[in-house]
Amino acid sequence: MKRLLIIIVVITTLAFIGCKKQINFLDKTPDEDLTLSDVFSQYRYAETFLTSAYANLPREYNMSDQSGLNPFIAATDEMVISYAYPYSHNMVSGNWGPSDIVSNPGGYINIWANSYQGIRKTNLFLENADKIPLNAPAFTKEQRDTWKGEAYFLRAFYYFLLVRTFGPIPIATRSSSVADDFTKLRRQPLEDCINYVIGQCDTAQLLLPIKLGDRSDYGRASKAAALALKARVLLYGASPLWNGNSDYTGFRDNKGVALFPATYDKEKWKKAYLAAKDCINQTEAGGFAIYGQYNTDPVATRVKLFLMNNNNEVFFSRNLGFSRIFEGASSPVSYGGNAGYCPTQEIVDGYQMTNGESPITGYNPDHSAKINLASGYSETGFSPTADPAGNYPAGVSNMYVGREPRFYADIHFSGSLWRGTQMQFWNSGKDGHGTGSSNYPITGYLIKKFADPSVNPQNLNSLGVLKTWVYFRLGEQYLNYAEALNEYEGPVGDVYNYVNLIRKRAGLPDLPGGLSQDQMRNSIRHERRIELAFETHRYFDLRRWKLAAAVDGQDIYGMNTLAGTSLQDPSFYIRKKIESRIFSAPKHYLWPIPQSEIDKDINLAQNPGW
Amino acid sequence: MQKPKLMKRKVVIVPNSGFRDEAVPFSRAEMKPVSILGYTGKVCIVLLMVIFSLVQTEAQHVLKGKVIDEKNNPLIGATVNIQGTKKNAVADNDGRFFLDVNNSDSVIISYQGHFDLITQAGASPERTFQLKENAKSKLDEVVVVAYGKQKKITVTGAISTIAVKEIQQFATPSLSNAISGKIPGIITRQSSGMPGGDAAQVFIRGFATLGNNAPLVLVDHIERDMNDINAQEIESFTILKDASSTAVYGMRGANGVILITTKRGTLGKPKITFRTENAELTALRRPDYINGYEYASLVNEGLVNVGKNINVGGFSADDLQKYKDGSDPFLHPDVNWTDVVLNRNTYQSISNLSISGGSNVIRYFTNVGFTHESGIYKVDNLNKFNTNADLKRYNFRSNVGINLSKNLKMDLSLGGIIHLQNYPGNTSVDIFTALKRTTPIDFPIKNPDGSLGGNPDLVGYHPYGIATQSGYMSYFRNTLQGTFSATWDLSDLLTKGLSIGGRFAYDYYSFNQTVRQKYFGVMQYKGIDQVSGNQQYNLLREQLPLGYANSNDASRAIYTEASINYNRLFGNHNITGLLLFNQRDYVNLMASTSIGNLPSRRQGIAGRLGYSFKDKYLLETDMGYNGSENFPKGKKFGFFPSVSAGWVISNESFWNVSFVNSFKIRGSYGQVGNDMIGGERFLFLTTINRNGLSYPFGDNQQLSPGFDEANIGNPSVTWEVATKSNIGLDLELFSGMLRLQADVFHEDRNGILMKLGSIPLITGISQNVIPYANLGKVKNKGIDALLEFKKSTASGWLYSLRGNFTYAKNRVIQDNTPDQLYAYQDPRLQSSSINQPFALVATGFFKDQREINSSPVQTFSTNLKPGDIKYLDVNGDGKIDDYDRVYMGYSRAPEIMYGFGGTIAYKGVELSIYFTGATKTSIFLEGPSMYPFGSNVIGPNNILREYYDNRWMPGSANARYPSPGDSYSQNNYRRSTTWLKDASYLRLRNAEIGYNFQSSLLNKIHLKETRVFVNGINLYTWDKLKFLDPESDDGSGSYPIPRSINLGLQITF
Repeated sequence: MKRLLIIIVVITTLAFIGCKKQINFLDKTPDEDLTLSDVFSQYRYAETFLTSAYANLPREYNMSDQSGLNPFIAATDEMVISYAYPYSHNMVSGNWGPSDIVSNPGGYINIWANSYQGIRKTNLFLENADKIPLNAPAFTKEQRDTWKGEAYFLRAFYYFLLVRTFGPIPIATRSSSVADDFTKLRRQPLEDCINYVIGQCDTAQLLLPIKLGDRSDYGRASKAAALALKARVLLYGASPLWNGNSDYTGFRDNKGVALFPATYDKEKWKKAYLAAKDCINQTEAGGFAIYGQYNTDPVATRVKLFLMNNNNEVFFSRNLGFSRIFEGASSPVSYGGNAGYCPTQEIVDGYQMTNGESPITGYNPDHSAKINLASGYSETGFSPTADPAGNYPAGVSNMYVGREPRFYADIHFSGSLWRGTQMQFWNSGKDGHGTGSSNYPITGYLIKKFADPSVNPQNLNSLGVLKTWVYFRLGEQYLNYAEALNEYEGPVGDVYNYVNLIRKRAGLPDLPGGLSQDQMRNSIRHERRIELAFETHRYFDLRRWKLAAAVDGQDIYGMNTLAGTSLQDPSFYIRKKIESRIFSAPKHYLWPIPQSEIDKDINLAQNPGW
Repeated sequence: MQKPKLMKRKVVIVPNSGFRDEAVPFSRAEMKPVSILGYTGKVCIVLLMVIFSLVQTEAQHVLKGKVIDEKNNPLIGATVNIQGTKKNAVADNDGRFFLDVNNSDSVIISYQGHFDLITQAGASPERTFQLKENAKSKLDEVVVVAYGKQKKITVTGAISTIAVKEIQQFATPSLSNAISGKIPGIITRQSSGMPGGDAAQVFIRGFATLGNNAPLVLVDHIERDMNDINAQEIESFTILKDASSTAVYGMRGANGVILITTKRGTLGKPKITFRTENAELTALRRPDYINGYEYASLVNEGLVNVGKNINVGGFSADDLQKYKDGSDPFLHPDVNWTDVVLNRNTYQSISNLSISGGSNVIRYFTNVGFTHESGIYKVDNLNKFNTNADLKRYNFRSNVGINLSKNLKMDLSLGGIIHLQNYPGNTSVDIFTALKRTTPIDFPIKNPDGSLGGNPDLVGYHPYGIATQSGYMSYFRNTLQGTFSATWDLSDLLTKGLSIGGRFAYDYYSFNQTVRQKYFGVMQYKGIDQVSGNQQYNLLREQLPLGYANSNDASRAIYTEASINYNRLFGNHNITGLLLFNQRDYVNLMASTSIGNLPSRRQGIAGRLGYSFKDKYLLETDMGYNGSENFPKGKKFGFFPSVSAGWVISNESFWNVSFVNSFKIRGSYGQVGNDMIGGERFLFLTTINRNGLSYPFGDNQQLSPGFDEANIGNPSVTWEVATKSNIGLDLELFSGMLRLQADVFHEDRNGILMKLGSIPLITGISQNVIPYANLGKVKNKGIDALLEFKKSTASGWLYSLRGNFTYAKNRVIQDNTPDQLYAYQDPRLQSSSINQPFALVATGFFKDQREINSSPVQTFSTNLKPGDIKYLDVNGDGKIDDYDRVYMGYSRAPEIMYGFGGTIAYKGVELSIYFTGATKTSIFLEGPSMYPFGSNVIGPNNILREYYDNRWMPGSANARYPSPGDSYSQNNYRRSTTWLKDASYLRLRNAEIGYNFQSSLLNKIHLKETRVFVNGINLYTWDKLKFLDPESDDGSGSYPIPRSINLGLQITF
């Protein structure tokens, strides 16, 4: 009896431990954690999904490391970065390839992955947007359409960022599932890519307001942004690199599909100028205008154009929050900066004189300048007096005297004033090589454009100021229109009109009349170089014009920063080679497709030369 | 002398087995061989017994017995049984016992490791019983197996053990270092000697998965950290290697299991043991960098190599002279940073005090231990705090067993481990990176005014500043381990041989980190101003006061187990059975996400059924059925079966090889799983990351939250399955003098959980979102073996030799990478092994520009120079690119590990020596200080002498490394055979000389045992690297591992 009792107790205990209490022991899973369908069941959650699609927009103001996804400015003739690590060094020395653009620990630039991640977010948003329940008045159909419009624009913009870098690319119009056959993702012919971007812009502009009315929406895409993107991508598509480029006529994928148009199509220029004009007309009607008054201080106007966030000229920009990164990278050591972003002598020489003449016409074999006597420019001597307009103090080299206003707005040079003290870029100066720091302006110049003088890089506790990076502005569209129109119809009146509007705002005289189409083309290209300096246009412009082999393959010069004991030491003001650059054509016109992508999708053709 | 095999067979002839059913509880002692008498002797006893029982009348009296061994020492705890009755007694601390006997009773006296003595009680009231030692009692040793113990002879799985003494000869805070090369089947690598960070990686039978290869470590059958356990607390150390021995662990067992049990009390008076050992540790192979003059000359050499003028960025003859003669120590410094930052010697101290003993009712073992190891960093005596690395560990363990009744036993075990750790304000990685970056000529240690030197490019890289002027970090780690268990023998209540048991464990871990970091001030000294005569300085960084930050971590684990055990002998048939239910609930109490805070749970059933016939034919089947909440419904539970069999050929009647005492062959086959998926939870769920990338909207740029995909769920994600087979043999020769154990194994690991590798970036699915799937396949095979030789001579000499060998070679069958364009780059087609180096083949260095021009284009760089690495164009396409990489060499964890050594003892003096070695392993010597320039640093790196002495120079024939240039070289600084070296080694791993004082001397001062010893660890290494420890990680060195000379004393009261 006792024995039986014990058996019963034991078995019951075991059964209790083993089953009853423990039956659901392993069924614990996360509570109320969101799934994708949850996100689109509430408009507030859906909005956050769209927000994260914006977050992939590159921070192009960061030109030295991968977070900016912008190695382009230092990889063309605009700039040299004095730090050793930026990927631009790999690019200009030819030390780069398909394997390291996405995974090189030495400093990769993952434009490919970042853009496609942004595209996936917009795909997911657009696939699910119609499921977001309306909840008037807080959430109306109009609001939902606006969000969809933003997503269409973002998708178009991410594809544009890919096309300008890699050329023809695979287009994923819907979000991939992990079970998909990825080898079906093939590179689409360039014209299809461009048409896709245009189509997205066209859809977006129907859904978006021309200009953002609510200040709390600043940073979102508008119809103006969609029109501007469409105009820019058409301009690219009409340009020599993309339009009947003989280098690429034989470039086909493994199915024999030609990825570039074989023949030149002049009508593309027409589409380009019509789109630019349409953009100009609609945006100006919608309240956008060239920033600044034509008769006020052109230097101050240009400075403010990039410091006044969301001014009337800006269609679309990347909000960066509080930041002092750019000020740190563009200030010399004595200001607490790192003297990283150093404009080249080439771009400095490109700024005209106040009379509209170029200071030099070219270079002698020893790389001294061939001075344009008509310009009044001189490379000897120093200015005994300060600039009445305050653009330079007394004693600076005559190289920096009498230059056009945009020069003084864009460039720090030896002797220029900033935050109350003088830039000393010569060897023994407080900012020079002689400090022992490798953070010295290696070319003898630093970028002033975009830098906010109210930010003190020495104050490590300061957050900096609210910054934006402008992707699209009306000024660019004037030049887009002029360029495309000149290509299609020659230097007709509107070509002059719009270039001169830009020159006028810059405080420069109009272009001389009677220019040939070629002369006008050169004038417009010059104007783009200066007006859009350091705005991530030059790199791509040189490529689409097929000029990169000639320009970006050249050595880069600067002042002789290893010499100089004073502001007026002439040994400093000698052009010295900073670095040799390598450009192999046609290889370097386009970036390589990442090797890891080709490994996973054998149908991805590699770009020519890689 | 009888044939040993016959002696063993007597066991079954002992006539008590037929009576067992009556009353005597099943006991292991009864299974022991009876031996003093031979076969005929036994027959005589039986006959005598029969005669006596017939003739003699009952005459009861109290027998006052004493049990002694051959050396006349009392055998405390020896058991005395009257055959055929329940009556028994246990010898006390003097070996004495009292027992009511009849003159005709047969008494059986048993003591572990000795032959049983069976004798008639007789009429004499006082008797002394001397038991003979059983030299071959190893056969009856029990080994710890999954959820219990098993007689070694009946083991059919692959199990290896290490004698605790061997572990204890290796004084280290981390147990994992003590087992290196000492057990067949284990692969280890210790890459750092940092106090608190010196544990070796341990792998059982190498690598079999592309995921987590860590074995399951169980301390007293509970999942616990091996490196928390003090060597003096250990009673047994066992590794389970094959499917048969691990199947009961189901989805936890595929990587092998390490079982550690802690000591239990034994019967007898309190035995107090005090052991203390103090070691001087010497950092081996501290980094050896070139001096200032050599460095400056090398900079010039680099400039010349690339055709640049040394006037720009180089050093003048005057500079070089100053670096050479040290005449200008502030502006032309020459600092040996290694000496400035690192000491050569440091110390370690380990002390333990234990008390153990027990009576028939209670048995106890208590140990308190203190371990202290100090680091090699130099300190600044002006600091009010310690900045050196330092580890203090307090171990406490108390194991108490209570016999509540004859059948019900309880065990209460408590362990407490407290770690107090101290480190400089920067990590060891920071310190060693600073050494690799800061050259001897960058700046002086201190400027003329006493401030720390610096230059603008290396602010914050001052090695001395980083090590001594950056504040400190202190860690407090506290582990509490409590286990309660009970077993209830139901032989009397239900049926013979049946018992039930339960176990409950609660472990709590907490961690507190206090960081008191600071910025040290840095000044650049710029010489004396010509005009004023004042010293000029450039303030590069202001000193900041000590900061304060505190972080915590805590976790708890609850383990519950209930089991039914069965073990019974029916005539010649022995049946064993086990059915066990267990579950574990682990919570990371300080998890940063809600998902991380959810309990990690496992639950399962383990079962074992064994059958043996006369200890000759052995059959066992094991199974685990267990599950994890981490897998989707319907995929939570897995079943893992195994079967194994053994044949003790030496127990066959036909076996007549006299010198072979025991010869067993065994084999096993089965499945085990691995559910360790790198801490990821709920991979079957598609989830959204609520902390995705945000974006600042509006003119005031308020951050708006962003939701993003967190994980794409895979509804069929599950554990990996290992199908393992093992064939082994156990051999004992010459009365146990020679022992051999050898195993051959083969494993197929399927369904290795890995991120889908086929998803291109075009999909926009980012790396952290890509789902896991059970895709990988790996084969692993090899052998492991053990050979032991032991001999004692009549004159008192004792020799022993032992050696072991482990070879495990794996092959990647499927790793879910895309198909490769070239077969030689496909890991699957190349049968490459896990983590096998994939790199370019260097064919030498370019002699001159002509050779560069006439060679295939090396696409990594456009400006090659003589002395740059020339690569093999593997695919012959006329250019060198990533398609020319091939699989080569071996992974960082060795494929072969072995160890051998021996002991000689004579009259209290004992000398032992042990070597361990590893081979088939490769290391990449790479990164800063092997590369003269870094990719994302300003300026050049510090340079190791290894590079300097072996770099290419014009005309050099035996260069090992490329010539320096003036910047980071995309061509040279990438993985190739140039940097890949053979990291094989043989170490004099440890040696010990000990002396045991004579017991007659000790008795006078009431000591039982006293032993003094000196041992050494890592005394010498033979290898090919010479400048860097061969167990280091890929790279150019980190915190060095130590050599130790350890002096110890052990006293037992």
